[in-house]
Amino acid sequence: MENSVSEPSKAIRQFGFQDFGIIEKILRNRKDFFHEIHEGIELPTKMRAMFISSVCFFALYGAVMGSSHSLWQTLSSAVKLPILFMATLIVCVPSLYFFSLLFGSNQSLGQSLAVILTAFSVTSVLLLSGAPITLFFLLTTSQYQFFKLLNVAIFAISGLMGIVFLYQGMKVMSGSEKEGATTRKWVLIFWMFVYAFVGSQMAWTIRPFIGAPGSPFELFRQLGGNFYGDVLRSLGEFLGYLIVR
Amino acid sequence: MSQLDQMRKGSTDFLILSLLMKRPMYGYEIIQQIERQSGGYFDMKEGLLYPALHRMQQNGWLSSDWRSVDGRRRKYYAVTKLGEEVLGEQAAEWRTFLDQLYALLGANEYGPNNDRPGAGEYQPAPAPE
Amino acid sequence: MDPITIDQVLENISRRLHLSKETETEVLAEIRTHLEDAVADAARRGEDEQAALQQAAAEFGIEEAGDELQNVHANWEALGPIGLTALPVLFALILRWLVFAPDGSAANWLQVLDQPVFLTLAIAAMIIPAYLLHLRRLALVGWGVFWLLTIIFVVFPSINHW
Repeated sequence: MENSVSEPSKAIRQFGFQDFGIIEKILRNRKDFFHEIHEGIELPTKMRAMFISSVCFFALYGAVMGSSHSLWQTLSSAVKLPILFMATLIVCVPSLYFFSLLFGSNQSLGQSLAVILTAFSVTSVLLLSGAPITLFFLLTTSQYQFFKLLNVAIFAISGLMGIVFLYQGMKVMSGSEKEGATTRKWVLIFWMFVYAFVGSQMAWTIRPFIGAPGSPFELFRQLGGNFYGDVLRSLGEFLGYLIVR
Repeated sequence: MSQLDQMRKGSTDFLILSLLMKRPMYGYEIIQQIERQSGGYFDMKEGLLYPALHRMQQNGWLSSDWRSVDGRRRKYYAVTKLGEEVLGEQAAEWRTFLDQLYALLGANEYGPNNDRPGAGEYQPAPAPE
Repeated sequence: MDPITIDQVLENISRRLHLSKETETEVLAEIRTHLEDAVADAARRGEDEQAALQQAAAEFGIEEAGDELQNVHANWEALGPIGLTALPVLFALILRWLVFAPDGSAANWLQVLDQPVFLTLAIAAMIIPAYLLHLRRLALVGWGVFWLLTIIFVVFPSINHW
């Protein structure tokens, strides 16, 4: 007798692991997933599953980032990274909702939230997939600036993919709403830049996530400077390091 | 979907579990047995049987394995211990539901010994030992 | 009506499925046997096989069946890859912060194997995926990764700066 494909057990439901399965649905069948959001089918269940899975994946990646410094940094980054994304969501979702509403969308706030959470889920699973890579470089290199830039690159790529997903989702959902469609498209593109800007500034505000080597653990650093200046500074140091070497 | 179809759909898991308690069966056999034993009353949409079977397997109520019988490979389903417990619970719920429904009808104009259409004698089945 | 084949019916169902190859193959194999049995039964009753297949396909309800099968299977397939990615990372972090010394040095083999936390982790690395989640292949891979990480930490001092 041959056994069939392995059966997930009752334990999966007991421990709530089935929430992680939402990722499968989003990635393999995105069109139908967005249609379901558009129709308002099981929105609370979807949002809960996306929230739980995103928080867990962000926390794990944050822990990897923080592991470059100390145990406290590991724990604090594991907590701060999900907070970073959720805080960005809270700051940005009203603008998406009201601007869309202004230009003829008939989506509810819950639907707007669900679509953004979908983008976050994609970003979080891409970060999760990057976690082994980050861990590898953490084990094999001691270059702080390189490690910082690597993380910026992984975040940028994951975030961009999430935003592209969001754009595709909004297109699918507003497919039947012809009136104001072009304007809403430009509103969405503008909002995507706002989201990236708010997200990067939010990250700068609640830093550090990695922790400078040799420095004591800090939960938050002094405000001042900005994310883009720091990235350029890191790039300069890293390139200077390469040239000098 | 008509009301009757909805009621039938709601009894799918119960019917399948009851049937599989007798012996392991494959999908086509399950459909045939349900139709035959109900005299065609439960005419389950065949394509919806397999999602139900797979869902119950994921819930841990059924186990499955591929068997070669008479040169044909088929996927047989059997009820697990958990499935037996679930069947017992569902059987009790159905019994209670029917008892309460007909108790209510008995106090109403659609109860037995009445001239209205649909009224008739109903005797609740004795609970299994 | 144009003649159809079982392969065409399965192709129509397959279009509505977005599952892993393994799961889709098994699901379609099961439906194939169903359709073959329906046609065989019709042939035994002396009916035309093509008409029987057309009727079986119609009664099967391709769209509805495909959508329902997709809904049932979609959620579960993510757990394997997610576990495969997340568990080794989680083990590495736990090994680093709970098993090894604060300065990242790994001590020697006997000291590592003596630590209850390490043994608990080693057992959990096998039991959780294998028996709790029934992901036996993942359990084997996770077990292998767990020991590989342990070897790396213990044997290669250059990594100890972590």
